[in-house]
Amino acid sequence: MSAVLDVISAVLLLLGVGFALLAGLGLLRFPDVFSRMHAATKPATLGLLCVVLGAALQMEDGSDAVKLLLVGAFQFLTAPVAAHMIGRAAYRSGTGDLDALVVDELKDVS
Amino acid sequence: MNRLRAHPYLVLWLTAVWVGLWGTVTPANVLGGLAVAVVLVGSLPLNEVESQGIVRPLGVLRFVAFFAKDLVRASLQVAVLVVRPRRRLRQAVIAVDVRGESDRLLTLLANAISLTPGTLTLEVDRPRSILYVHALDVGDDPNGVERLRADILRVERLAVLAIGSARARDELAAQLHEQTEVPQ
Repeated sequence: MSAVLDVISAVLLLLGVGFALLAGLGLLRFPDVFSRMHAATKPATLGLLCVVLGAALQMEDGSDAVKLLLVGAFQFLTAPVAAHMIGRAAYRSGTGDLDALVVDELKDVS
Repeated sequence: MNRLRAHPYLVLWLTAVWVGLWGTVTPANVLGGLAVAVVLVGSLPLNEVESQGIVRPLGVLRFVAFFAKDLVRASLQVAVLVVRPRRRLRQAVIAVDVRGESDRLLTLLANAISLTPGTLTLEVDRPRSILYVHALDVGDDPNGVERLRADILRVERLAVLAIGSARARDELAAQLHEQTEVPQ
């Protein structure tokens, strides 16, 4: 049983590390604020969730596992809000590369 | 007191977080958490949340399942974009006209879009309930924009089925019925 858990944990941890690596690579390689926001927030959230789940499975004390899951829950609640605020600020201030947009249906309204 | 009655789930959630942080379910922890939650909810100004929505467990499960699948699919897509040799991203901002019958529904939808890799809610027009969504890459396909819009509307329909009001759900059912009766 514990061997099975170990394998699941290992897979989750490796997945999480992979997503974190992708987030970092994306941050370096993507050209402007918007695309970097995509790279920095979303894969990082998923990566954190994988790591937290993988670690929670290894906790012998159930209460530690619950705390880890709370970390994941709060990440899910706060990450989209942060991404939304930064993205909106970048659009409004014109910091994002608006010329790179192939379609901009917000331009006519704002 | 009115505030407490308006936010029963918030009190439950805060109590659960409190107990979770202490780590063990003991009477003292539950009562302590409940006390803190009641004081917080009772003393802080909170926005009114309309209560017309109904939470349907089966609908919520379907929404969560679809969202989880979407999360993995979109993550892989973005992963490909990151690793692929440099290529110009075809970014876009598209307007999606959604059923914005409640703040709760709109928030759920905006957050689901923002959490899905490749899409990000940039701006929300609450009065007209239009979400402006930034897409990382709509692809070379000229239908990319429309396909993305359809994807988002699909999430919206699932959200309505999960937590929308009875009226919104009936409207949705009628619409779907019409679409199947009149073949394109």
